Amino acid sequence: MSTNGRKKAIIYSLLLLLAIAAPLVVRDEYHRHIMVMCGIWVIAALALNLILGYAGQLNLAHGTFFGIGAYATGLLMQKAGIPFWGALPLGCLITAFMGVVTGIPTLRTKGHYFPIATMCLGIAIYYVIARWDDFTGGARGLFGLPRPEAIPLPFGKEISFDSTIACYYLVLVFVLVTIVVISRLVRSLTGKRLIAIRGNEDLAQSLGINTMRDKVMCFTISTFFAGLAGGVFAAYMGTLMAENAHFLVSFEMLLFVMIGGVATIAGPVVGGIVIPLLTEELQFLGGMRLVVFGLILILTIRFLPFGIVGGLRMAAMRIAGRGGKTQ
Amino acid sequence: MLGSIYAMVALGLTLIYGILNIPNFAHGALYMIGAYMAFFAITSFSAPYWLGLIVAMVILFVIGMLVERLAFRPLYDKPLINSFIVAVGLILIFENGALAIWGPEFRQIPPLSDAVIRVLGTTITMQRIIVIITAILLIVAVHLFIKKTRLGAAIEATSQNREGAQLMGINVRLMGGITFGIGTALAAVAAVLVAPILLIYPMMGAPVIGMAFVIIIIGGMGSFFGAVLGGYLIGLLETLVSSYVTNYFTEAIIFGLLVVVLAIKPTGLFGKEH
Repeated sequence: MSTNGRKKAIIYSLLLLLAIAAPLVVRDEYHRHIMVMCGIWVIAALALNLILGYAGQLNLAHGTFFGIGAYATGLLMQKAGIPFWGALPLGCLITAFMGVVTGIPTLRTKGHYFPIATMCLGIAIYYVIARWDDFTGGARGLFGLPRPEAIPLPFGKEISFDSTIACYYLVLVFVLVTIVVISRLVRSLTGKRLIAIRGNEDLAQSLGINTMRDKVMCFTISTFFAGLAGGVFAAYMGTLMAENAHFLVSFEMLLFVMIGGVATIAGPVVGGIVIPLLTEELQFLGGMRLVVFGLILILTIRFLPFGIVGGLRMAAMRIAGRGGKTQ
Repeated sequence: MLGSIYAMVALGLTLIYGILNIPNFAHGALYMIGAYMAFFAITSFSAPYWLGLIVAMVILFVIGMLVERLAFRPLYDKPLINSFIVAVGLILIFENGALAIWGPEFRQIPPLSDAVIRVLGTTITMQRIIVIITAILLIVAVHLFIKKTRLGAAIEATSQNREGAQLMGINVRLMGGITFGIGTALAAVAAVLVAPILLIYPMMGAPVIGMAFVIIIIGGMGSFFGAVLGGYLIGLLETLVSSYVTNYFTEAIIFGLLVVVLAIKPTGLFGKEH
């Protein structure tokens, strides 16, 4: 067990070093930009995985919460003149608040009703954002959002976020925070309760678990991190379009989680990195890219229900000769 | 008019749900494909309107059966969530495929008749009357089909008790495929009927499918009359809200209403406990 733990620690440190060194190796701005985007998607995918993978609730409004976080942060910066470092946490809190308000009625539903209710919710909020011209800029979007303000350091130095590489490290810090918080959460007793709810909600309830409280809490945390990804996205991109809150965004995040590997911490990380990179590689397919991803999604569900990470684990176990069963 | 369209789309959705227990999120995407099929039949092959409608219906019936066979059938004994995600995959395929092949531009099927009729002091276009009458005829036809024919009875039996139906020698898998085909064909008809009034574009299914889900939740999932009644109710409500309250936030108000309904009764207004 302890050698296993040490092995894991070594692997994680190597991966972290790789993540830190990556933008130093990749020198052109465009690829650095894609790496920043990957980081933002990883945060959002980890958040979706929390509610989908662990609590077993398919939230089809996840992309909408990403959009709410982005618009909340962007509007706080632009209309209220609040600096990024204040607007971001406020934006996350607003998103989480929306999560509580919408989660309490929708999470009362079970089975089929929850994805349907959240899909309807996502469509409704998208139309509000796209049509509320005076407030959100409507279909034209929001422009000229400022980048995060520089962090002052002693001796008159500062960390400024004008360059892509600085933004990359900022996003990397947020990714690490997200990974630590979510992996601690799913390993805690609460995480076990969530998994019990995923397995059989009625049974979990009969064992004395307050399933509603746990689901709402999980949903709130999930939307909080979706808002975080959105807020960082807003400040990094500088512009927001209603399309950033479209329900198709939820579908893309679902791709990251499912193809990466649902119900693992590594899965959304892998998915959030591999799929955007693959998207770049498949540029030549033009509009057919998402068609290909749709097909990949369906085939993944059928043949590799735990995605890339689940598949790799299964392969590793086979090689180790312990029989090939996950979970 | 809107109510008729919603009633047909919701009816297709609820039929599929009744048999296969899948909320088919891709229903709106298939609705959109139906509109394009008729559009090309009418404009490229200069087919008359009614022929275009029938062509779209037949093609979508076949596509519906194929979708059921290839995408959903392998997942029957798997967790429900897998079917949901497969439906999302289908949306990605159909909507982006349509966008890539046919482009984002809006298209319109020329209306069957431009005539305007005065009824009780208000005016209504002929096309709207055609939509309303066709929808009613079709809904009655589907009802009669289910209640009066052997095949319809087999479908109803399958939706009521899958194992029981299988014991009686009904091919439940085939029933699933046929129902999926019929449901999809209904969506196609709705799309073709509304196409001369609204426009055809790759994302046209999204607002309609959202409404259709609101309807079948309110009407009780799997319920025939719930879907029809709910369709007309929501259509009327949408028209009232957009003419008397706000034109901008109609969807938000109706979806908000749904959330309120679910908060009060998590299985929908007429839904059974499960």
